[in-house]
Amino acid sequence: MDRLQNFVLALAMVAIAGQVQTAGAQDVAKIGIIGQFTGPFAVTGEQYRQGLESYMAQHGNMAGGRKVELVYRDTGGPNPALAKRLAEELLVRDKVAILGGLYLSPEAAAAAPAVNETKTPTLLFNAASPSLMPASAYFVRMGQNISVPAKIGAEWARGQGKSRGYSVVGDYTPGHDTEAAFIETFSAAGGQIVGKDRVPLNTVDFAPYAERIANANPDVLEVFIPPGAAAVSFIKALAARGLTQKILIIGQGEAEDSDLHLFDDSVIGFHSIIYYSSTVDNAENNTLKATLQQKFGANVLPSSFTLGAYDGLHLAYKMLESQKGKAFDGTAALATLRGFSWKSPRGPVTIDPATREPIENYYIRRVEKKDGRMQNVVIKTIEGVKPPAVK
Amino acid sequence: MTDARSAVLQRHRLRLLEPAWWLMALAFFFVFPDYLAVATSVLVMALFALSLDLLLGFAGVLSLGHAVSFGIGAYSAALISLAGWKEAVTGALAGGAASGVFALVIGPLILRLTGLSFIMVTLGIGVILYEAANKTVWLTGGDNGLPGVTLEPLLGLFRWSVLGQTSYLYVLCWLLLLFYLTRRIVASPFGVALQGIRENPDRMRLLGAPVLRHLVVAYAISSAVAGIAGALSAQTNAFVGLEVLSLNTSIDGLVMLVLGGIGRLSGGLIGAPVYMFVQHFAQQWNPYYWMFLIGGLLILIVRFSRGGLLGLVDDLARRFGRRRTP
Amino acid sequence: MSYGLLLCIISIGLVVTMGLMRVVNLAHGAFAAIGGYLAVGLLAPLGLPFGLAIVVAVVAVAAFSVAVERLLYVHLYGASELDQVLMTVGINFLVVAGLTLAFGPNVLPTRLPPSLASSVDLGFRSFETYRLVVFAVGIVVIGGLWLAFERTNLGAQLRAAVDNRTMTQAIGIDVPRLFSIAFATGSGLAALGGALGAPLLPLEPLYPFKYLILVLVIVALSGFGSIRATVFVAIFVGIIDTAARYFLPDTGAFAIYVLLIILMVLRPDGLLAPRRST
Repeated sequence: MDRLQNFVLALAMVAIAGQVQTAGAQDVAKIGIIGQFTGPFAVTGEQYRQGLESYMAQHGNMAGGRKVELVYRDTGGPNPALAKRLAEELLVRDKVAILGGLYLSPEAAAAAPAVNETKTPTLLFNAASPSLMPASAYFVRMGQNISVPAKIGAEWARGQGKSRGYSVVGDYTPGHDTEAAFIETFSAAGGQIVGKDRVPLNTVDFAPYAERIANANPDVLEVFIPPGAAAVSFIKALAARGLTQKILIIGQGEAEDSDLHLFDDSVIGFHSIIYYSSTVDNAENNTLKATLQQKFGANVLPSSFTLGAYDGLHLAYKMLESQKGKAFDGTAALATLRGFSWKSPRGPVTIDPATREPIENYYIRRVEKKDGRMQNVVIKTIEGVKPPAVK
Repeated sequence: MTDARSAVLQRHRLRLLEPAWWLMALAFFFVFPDYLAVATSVLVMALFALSLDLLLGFAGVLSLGHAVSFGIGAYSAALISLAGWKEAVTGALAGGAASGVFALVIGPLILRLTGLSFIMVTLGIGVILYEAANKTVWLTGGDNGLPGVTLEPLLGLFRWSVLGQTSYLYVLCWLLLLFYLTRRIVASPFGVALQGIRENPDRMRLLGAPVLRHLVVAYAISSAVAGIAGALSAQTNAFVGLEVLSLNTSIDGLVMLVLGGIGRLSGGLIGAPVYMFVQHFAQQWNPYYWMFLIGGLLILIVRFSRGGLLGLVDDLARRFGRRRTP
Repeated sequence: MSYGLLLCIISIGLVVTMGLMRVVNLAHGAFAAIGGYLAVGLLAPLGLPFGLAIVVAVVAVAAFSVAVERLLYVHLYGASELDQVLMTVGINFLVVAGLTLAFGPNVLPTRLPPSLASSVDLGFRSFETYRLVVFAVGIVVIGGLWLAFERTNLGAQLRAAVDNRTMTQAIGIDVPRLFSIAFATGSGLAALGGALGAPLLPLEPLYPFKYLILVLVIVALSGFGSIRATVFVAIFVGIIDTAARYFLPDTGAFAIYVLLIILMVLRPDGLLAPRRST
C-alpha cells in the first residue's frame, strides 16, 4: 500500500542522509556534547548551545589546525542509562576526541567507565557532585562543586547574625549534597537548624512547603530547586505566605538573569550564591553579552550554564592546540589543563592541578529592580575559592 | 489433532517471512558492528513489547504499568550481580522470577478490575514504585542508579565489552528462545482460553473456565518475560536507573507493540526497531519533530490501520491475491 | 483550597467526556494547556484585560475542540480502551510538540493585573486576592454546571443519550450534535481551568502530562459520571494532597496514589457509588 511504501522510502532517505555526514578523521576534531535539549531541563540545553555557538562566533571553528565539529546528543530528562549509551556511541562510533556537557551528575557518573576506557578528556559543563572527580581522572569540572555555595551561604548567613536555619531542596542528589553541606557548616558555626525538607521533583503546588517553613519560623532559608517552572512556583508560594519579606532566602541558580523575566516582583530580594553573574564587569563578560545579544536577541543574557559551555569550549580548544600537528592524545591533552589559568567572563579561573576542579570567584547576589528591569546585583565577591578535595 | 487445534496452530505457523527476520538480525551483527550497542537495546525493548503482547494481545488486558515488571527484573539482576553472583544467564532468570512472583502476588487483587479502573490502578502502582525506588537510595541508588553491574564471561568464554558484540548475540538468543516459548503457550489450550477471555469473559465464565486464575497466570508469565527483558537491560548496559520503572517506558513499550501490530507476537519485533530508528534520527533533526511524528503515527494507526505495520503487510498480501490462512 | 478547585474545574470537563461519553480522554490536559497558553501567551500581550482574555480563550478552545471531536474523537465512541488511550496520547504528543514550537520549552511568565496581585486580609488569615477570585469563579461554575445538568432540558437529553443512545436517537434527539456540545463544554471547562489557573499553576509545554495523572485520579475516584461526586472528590484529593505534603513532606507526594489503589480495589465504581453486589 502507498502509505507503507512512502514510509519506508522516507526512512531510507533519512538513513542515507545520515550516513553522508562522515568526514575525514584527520582534519576534523569532533566534540560530543551530551545535554538536556528536551524535557524538564530543556532550558539548560538551550543555554549550552548559546554558549558554544557564541564561543565559535568569537574564535572561529578551527583549533590546532583542525576543524571543530560539535555533535549534539539529547538525554531528554534524567536518564543516566541513556547518557551512558550516548557517551559510548559518541566515543566508539563517532570517535569524538573530547566529550562535553553532562548537566546531571548521575549522567556523568554513568559515562565514567566509557570515558576511562577510551581515555577521553571530558568537560563537565555543570555536573556538580563532589564524588565525580575521583570517578574519572579524565573529568574536568567547568561549573562548580555543589558543596561550595552551600558552605559560603551558611557562613555568610551566620556572619549576618542569622541563627535559625531551614533547608528546602529538590529531592535529587545535588539537593541532598547542598542540604548536607549547608547543615554541616551552619551548625558548625553555631547556628540552629529548625527544619529541612526534600521536595519531590514533579511538585507543582508548593503551598504546603511554604506553610511548613512559616510554622518553623527560621530567619534564613537555604534553597536548591531546579530552575524553570518549579523555581517560579516555589518563590510565588513563599511570597504568598509573606516569607520573602521576612526571611533571608539564599539559593543558587533558581533566578538567573536569563530567567528573571519568568518571575513577578515577588522574587525581589532573593539572594543567590554562584560562580557567575551577568553583571560582572570585565571585558570578557561584556564581549560575551554583546555576542549573545547579537546572535540570539536583545533580551538574551548569559547564565552559569552558558558559561559552563563557553569556558568548556575554551578548554577544548586549548587541548586541541596542544596537540597540533599530531594525532590527538587525550591523556597528554588533559595534562596541559592542570594549573591552567585564564580570564573568563566569570572572572579569573584556574584549574586545580590536583583535583581538576575550577578555582574561581563566587558572587553573592541579590535580585533588585533597576530602571524597571530586574537583575542580580552582586553585593559581595569572594575570590579564588578552592573546592575541597574528595577522597 | 482436532480441527480447532490445527486451525489455531495454522494461524501461528511459521510464515515464510519469519526466519528472514532472525537471519536479518544475525546479519546485522556482521554488517553494522558500530551500532551493536543501540541495536541491543532495540532487542531488549522488542522482548518487552513481546511480553506486553501476551498480556494485551492475547489476554486483552491493558496495563499502563508494565514497566514495573521490567524494572523489578532490572533491579533484581543488578543487585544480584553487585552482591557477587556474576553469572549472566541465571541472573536474568532470577530477574524474571522476581517479576513473576510480584505478578502472582498482586495479580489476584487487581485483575478483578476491568477497563478504566484497571488502567488507573496499574498507573498508580507504576508511579508508587517509581517514587519508592527513588526514595530507597540504599537499595536502588535513587536517581544515581546502580552502576558497575559487571558479569563473568558468558559461558566462561565470551567477554563483555563496550562494543557490545557479546551483548547483542546474548539478547538475540534470549529473544529467540522466549519468542518460541511464548508461541507454544498461545497455541496451547491455555492460550486459546486466554483469547476466549479476551473476546468475551462472561461467556468463558459460563463455560466454567477459571477466568481470574487464567488471567493471573497470563499476567505472571508476561511479567516474568518483562522481568527477563529488564534483567538483560541491566546486564548489557552495566547500569540500572530509575527510568526502567517510569511511565515513559510503559508507554514506549505499548506504542512499539501497537506500531508493529497487536496479537501476533511478532508485532514487537517490527515495532521496536521502527520506533527506535525513527526516534534516533528524528531527534537528531530536531527533538520536537520526534513528538510530532509519534503523535501523528499513533493517531494514524488508530484511525486507519488497526493491525499496525504487520496489519498493513497483511492487507498488501491479500490485495495481491496470495492465499492467507484465516 | 484553590488548588483543589482548579483541579476540579479541569476535572469536571473530563467527567463530561469520560463519564458521559465513555471515552478515555487522556488529552484533556492538552485542552487546558491550550486554553492557558492562548489566554496568557497571545491575548494578554495584545492588550486585552485578563478576564476578557480568559473568556476568549475558553470560547476559542471550545470551538477548536468541536473540530477535533468531529475529526478524531467521533471514531472513539464505543471503540476499545486501547484505541482511546493511544489516540489521545497521540494528541497529547502533538499538542506538546506544537506548544513547544510556538512558545518555546520554558515556562510562560504570567503577569497578574495589579488589582488582583495583592493580598486581602479576611481577619483570621490574609489570602492572595487571586486565590479568592479562583475560589469564587470555581463555585459559580460548578454550581452553574450542576444546575445545567440536573435541571435543564439539555442536561436531561445528555443524560438520556449516555444511558441509551439508540433509544434517544429513536425519539428524535440529535445525539451526535449533543455529544459535540458536551465535548465542547468539557474542553471549554478545561481551558477555563488552564487559563484561570495560569498564575498559580505555571504553563509549560509538558503541562498536559504533568496534570494528567492527577486529573485521571479524580475522575476515576468519582465514578465517571456524577458531577456532584467529582466536586467532592476533587476537593478531597486537593486537600489530601496538600495535607500529605504538609505533614509528610518527603513521602506525602504519593499518598494520593496509594489512596487511589486502595479505593479502586475496594470500590471500583468510585467513592460515592452505592456498593454493587458482584
